[in-house]
Amino acid sequence: MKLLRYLLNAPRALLVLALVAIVAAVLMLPALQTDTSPDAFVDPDNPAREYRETVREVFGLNEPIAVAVVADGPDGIYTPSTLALIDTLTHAIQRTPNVNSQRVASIASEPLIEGSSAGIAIEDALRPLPETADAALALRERLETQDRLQGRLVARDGSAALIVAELADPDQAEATYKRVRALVDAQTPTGGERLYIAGEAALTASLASLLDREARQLIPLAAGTMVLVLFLLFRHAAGVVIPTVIAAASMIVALAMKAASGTPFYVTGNAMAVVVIAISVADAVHILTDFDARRKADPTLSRRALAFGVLKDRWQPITLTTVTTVAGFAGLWLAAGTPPARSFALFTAVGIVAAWIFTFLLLPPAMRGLPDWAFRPVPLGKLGRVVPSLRIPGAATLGRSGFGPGSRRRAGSIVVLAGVIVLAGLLGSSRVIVDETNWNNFPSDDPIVTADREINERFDGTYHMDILLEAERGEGILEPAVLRHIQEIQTYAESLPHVGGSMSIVDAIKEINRAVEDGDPEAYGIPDDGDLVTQLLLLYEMSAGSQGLRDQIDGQNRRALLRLQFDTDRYRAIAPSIEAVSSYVETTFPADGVEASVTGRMALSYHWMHEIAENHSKGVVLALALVALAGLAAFRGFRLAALALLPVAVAVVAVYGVMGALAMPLAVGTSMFAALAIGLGVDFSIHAVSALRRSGAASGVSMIDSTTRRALIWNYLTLALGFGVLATSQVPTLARFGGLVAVALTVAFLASLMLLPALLQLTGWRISAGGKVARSTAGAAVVLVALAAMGLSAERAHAEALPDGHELMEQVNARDEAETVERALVMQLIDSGGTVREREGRVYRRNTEDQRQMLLFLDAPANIAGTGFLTHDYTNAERDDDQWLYLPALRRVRRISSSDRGEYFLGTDFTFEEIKKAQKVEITDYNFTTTGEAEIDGEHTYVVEGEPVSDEIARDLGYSKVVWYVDPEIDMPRQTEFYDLAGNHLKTSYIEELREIDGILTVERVRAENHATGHSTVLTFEDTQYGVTLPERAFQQQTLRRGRF
Amino acid sequence: MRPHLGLSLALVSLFIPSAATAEEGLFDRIDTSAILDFEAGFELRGDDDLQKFQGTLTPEFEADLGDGWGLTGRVRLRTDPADNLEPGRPNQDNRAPFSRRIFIGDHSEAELRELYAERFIGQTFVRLGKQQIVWGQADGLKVLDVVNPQSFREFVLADFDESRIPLWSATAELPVGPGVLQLLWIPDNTFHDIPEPGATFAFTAPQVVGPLSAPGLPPRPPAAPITVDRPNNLITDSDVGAAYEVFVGGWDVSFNYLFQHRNAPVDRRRIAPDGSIEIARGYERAHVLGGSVANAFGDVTLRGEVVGVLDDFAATRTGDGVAEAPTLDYVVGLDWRGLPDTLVSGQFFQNVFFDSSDALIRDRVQNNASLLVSRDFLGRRLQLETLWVQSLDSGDGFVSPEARFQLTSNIWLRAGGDFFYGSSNGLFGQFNEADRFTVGFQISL
Repeated sequence: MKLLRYLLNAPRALLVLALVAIVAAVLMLPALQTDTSPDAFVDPDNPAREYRETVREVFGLNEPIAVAVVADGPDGIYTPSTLALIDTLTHAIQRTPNVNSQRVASIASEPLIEGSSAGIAIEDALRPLPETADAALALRERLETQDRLQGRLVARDGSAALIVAELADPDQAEATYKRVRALVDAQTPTGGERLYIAGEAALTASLASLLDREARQLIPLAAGTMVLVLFLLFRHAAGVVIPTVIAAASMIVALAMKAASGTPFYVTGNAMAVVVIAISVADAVHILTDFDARRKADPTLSRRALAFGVLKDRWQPITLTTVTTVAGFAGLWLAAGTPPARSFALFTAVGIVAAWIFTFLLLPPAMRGLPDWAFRPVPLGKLGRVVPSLRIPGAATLGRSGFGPGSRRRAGSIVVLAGVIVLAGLLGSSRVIVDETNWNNFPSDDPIVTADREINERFDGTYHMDILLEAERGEGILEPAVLRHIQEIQTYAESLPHVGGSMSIVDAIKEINRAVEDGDPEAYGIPDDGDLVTQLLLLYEMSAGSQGLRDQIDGQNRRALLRLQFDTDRYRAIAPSIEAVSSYVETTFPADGVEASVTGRMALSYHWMHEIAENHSKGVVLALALVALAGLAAFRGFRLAALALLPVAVAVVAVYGVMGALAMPLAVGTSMFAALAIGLGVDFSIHAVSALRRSGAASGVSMIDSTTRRALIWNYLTLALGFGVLATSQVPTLARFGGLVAVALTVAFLASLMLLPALLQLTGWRISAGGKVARSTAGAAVVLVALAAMGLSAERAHAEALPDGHELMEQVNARDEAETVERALVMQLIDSGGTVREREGRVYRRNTEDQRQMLLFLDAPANIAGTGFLTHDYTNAERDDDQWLYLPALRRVRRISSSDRGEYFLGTDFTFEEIKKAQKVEITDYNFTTTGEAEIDGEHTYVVEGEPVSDEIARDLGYSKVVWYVDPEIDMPRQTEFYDLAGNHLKTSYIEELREIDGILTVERVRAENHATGHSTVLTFEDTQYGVTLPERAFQQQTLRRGRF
Repeated sequence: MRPHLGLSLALVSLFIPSAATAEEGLFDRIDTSAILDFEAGFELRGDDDLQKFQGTLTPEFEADLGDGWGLTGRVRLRTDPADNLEPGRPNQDNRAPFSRRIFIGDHSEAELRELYAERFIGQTFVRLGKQQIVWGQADGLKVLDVVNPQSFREFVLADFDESRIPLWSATAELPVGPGVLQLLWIPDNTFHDIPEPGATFAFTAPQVVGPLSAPGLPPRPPAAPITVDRPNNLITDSDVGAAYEVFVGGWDVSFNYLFQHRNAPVDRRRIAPDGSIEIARGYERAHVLGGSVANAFGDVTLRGEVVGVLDDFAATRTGDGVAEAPTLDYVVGLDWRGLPDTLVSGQFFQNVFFDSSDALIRDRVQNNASLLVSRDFLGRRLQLETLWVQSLDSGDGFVSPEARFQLTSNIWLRAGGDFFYGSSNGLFGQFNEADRFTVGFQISL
């Protein structure tokens, strides 16, 4: 209360504070960078993105604009007029500003490689330009031998040719696209040719200009609609200006924070604007509606007293909305897989907090200090008589639990109806698929869509996936073995769906080789002699200039690019092929001193779509959970929290339901919708629950009071109409955005005002106000901070079945280890700074017919003495292991789930699984492949790679791959390498001491080094006794408690 | 010589003959160790800035007596100059004479925490002496863990191992069928340590201490005189119990039975000859039936415990202030370890008192929930943990975050806090004034 009084007593201080904050924020804005490129969706440190940068630097490849010349005549493009058109266009495009003139490829710029009596002839195809039909047909014959160009620059059926122009500066794509467009429009084809413009740069440019155009028309319209609704609601200047100022100031602060933190403005920035505006307008609407109602009820009260009453009643729900909404966005932030999604969640939360602050900085001075005219309703003439009588049909019945005859039945019908909607929503949700294509962003009759369809039907494809090959040394790529390997990938890739073709240095080499052999088709292959390959390339460079092949191989012949062409960018269509190629590359490289990495636009798109597919539902569930948790802490009651969550959950289900029913795929844009539903829906539900609680406390009857109801209805109208305007957009993405936001708002609104009171009436629950909210809010904050500290992270794993090496590992597992053993154990835990922590204990193991049982006790230091770990590891792989841990501080035997086996055992660098297995391996967990031989500690070993048989097992184990160096003489891995789920080399374990005891080879010391943390663990075993008598009871959980057996 | 020391020595002497005959000497093996622990607590809103400033030394020995006998002993020496948790020397009427603490001045005390001998006799494991008997495994609040009484000097904030009061008892565990049968005999009639009025964690909630006024009775002063009638016959008043634990089809299942004097006192109001109110404190005997289950499914471990008490007691507004009825108390818990080094554990508790009288002060059905989130960092050198316990009825609860850092093999540092909120009539909210930050360390010697 003190604070509220202060807010009212210090209007100038607050205004100055607000002004300073806004000015400071505005000053930060110029530092804001924009990044609307698709690359932004992949983490900058993602290997695929790093390789893409390398590809750009080394091979100079940038997004191209492609112009297609299509001729449907019997000779296709092979007529003098069409060829002339291609020639003219090519040269005109080369001269276009921002087009890299060295990087314009068409049959008018690429050479023909042919054999001749002098060796090879490398000539321009269109020099001289064929002037007769026969000459054109002769050119056709020559071009059809050029595999490099077929399907890429000229359609295999001769019906079209392509001019591919790369841009010097991709950021100026839009201007360049317009220039090329003008150039193409200026052509007057004489032979009935059709011209199309497509390509990635054209696409990006079209999208940017389309979104810009639509946004420029629609967003002002949306803002105008909101202002109009605000005006209809309040009919005074203050009611329009103050919410608008608060919304604008909050937006500016969110953007300024983005700028200050160096985060660029991604495409998701628009969605952020929507939520921030919505919430900040809502806060102001609630306060001002109450203020107006109180003024009307008692005009004699001072402004100060009115404002105090309003703030006293409304600060709690407004604060709660802020806390719960921020909690929801915190959940999305924790689970978001892509930088734009993370940025969206984080800065929306910042904006919401800013809106809360500005509401309390600006509204109290405004309510107290603005002159009377600012609150005086504007006379509207005739309209003035209409507006006050405006009634929303049925609005009067909203928010009541109903008290008359039949009201119970009505409540029942509402709940049943809600149930049906939820069921339908769930049904629809089950049909939501993950998919994305650029065409989602364009009207289906947009010229660029037609162009893309034409081009991809006639050519091998304009969507690229690249494989970057890097040799250890210069000239490494030109080794015949390497070239053959590249050729194998091409052959394999081209057998996959939607891969139309591929190109690499190999194609050029084969063509030159054939040419020097005088066009002998037999010679179309890779020479066996490496020197010959080098000489062929030299020959080519001498004839065609050194730039000729630089987009495929670098100057040192150390790095080469293999480019696969896809005929679509639709995620679901290309994902299987991309996965297959990636896995092929991963399993066959490194080889012959060459490493290969997958990159290119399609690989990147695949990465982020995969990210969305993996993490989306997690994010939504986490967001809902955090909203629930914040609600629980805020309302301090299970029922209230559940009630507050209900409308949000229903809105989320409805959004998915609509997406499923209308077959809208879950894609980059649409994956934001659930977040929006949560962000917008929670506002209605918190205000409704707060009102229900207030009335419950005051009168014992839970209903939403008329002031709150009025505020909620108008708040709904402001937002739904505002964003509903977007639904009229030509751009499918914007239309969906507007439509679904309207759906989310409507459902959350109706659920808050009708479903909640109906439920209360049906269940007979009474809700009443609890204690102070400030403390509970602090409680919620403590929980949130604790959760955030837990750093919940998403994990992914990719596993591929490669059965091999099985036998070696079977032998490892069959190694004699005696039926029972007892040993003393010293664990040394060494951190990266060299600090050593030591623990001592005892280990007992017993093998029975159907299980391997292990018991471990720690004896020192004293504060962990008595800690015990017991496992029953069943030979029947179908049966999960049973594990128990005894912590003496709790004196409890605690059952541990067997999926914890990938967890580190008591802070060591060995997992529960490795402690339990002791140099053996669960055969059914992995697919094994023997990949080579290696010498470890002077001993010969086989290298066996194991990949977990499923993602689930990979997650359980915590590894995507394990490599064992198995010494066949001792049937033991002398060294083991572990790779984390992201494929990084995580740790290595080494057997450091071995000794034969009672005829059994025994590990006496083993070390594990974690490369990620620098931490290492040494386990030293002493006093090993085989064949000791260990009673059955030693391996019962009671033994953990007793500490003896 | 104080009685409990005498008993201890007598017990030890029982084993000396067999130990002495062993070739290696008196003991085949004796290991000694000790833990030094210090914790300071700073109050956020109460009268005392320094809530606790407590040092604890816990020496311990484990000896092999030969012939399969083992002997374990542990003593706790504790000093706390702040003296707020148990101001002065608390009355020990709740404790059996041989189980009492020895107070040294107002600030320090010594307590025999454990002294037991154990061995297998055939297949039967026998443990005799002062010990803790632990049933159940719920976090934060106890359900099945009813055998030993508890010290509430820090409400439920102290480790269960520290707050559980060990009892002189005999246990035997013998294999029966596929499981193990545990038999208990507890002649030690020691009950909960309830903080006296004036202590930081003294109970004030009416549902615990009873109403301050009642129809037809003069108002009760906050510190009404209490007369204690404690059962003290070693044989006829002793507790007996049994538990059968079995591991079947992947499920850990237990069935438990105890015939005990309940550890919580029953305070009856009566009018003293001078017309004032006094409290007659008694300890009632009851049949306690319970059970537990646990199993793991993927990342999730499911736990459940249930306890039914045939004659239990709760405070009422009328009559002598006590209602008698059966109670059912249970907890369902889920532990999730889906993220590396992380435990998220949620529990739902319900306690039903089968009495529908309007005069009952507590809710007939009490619902509580808890959430425990803990995560290890730096290879378990740093552990962060937050326990949140919430009453789902009265909205009160507490949050206890804690960070522990292992400095060396044997030194742990820790910092944390305990924050209560909600109505001061609630079980947790009554300690609103006791919110605290804590720092401390522990050294293994």
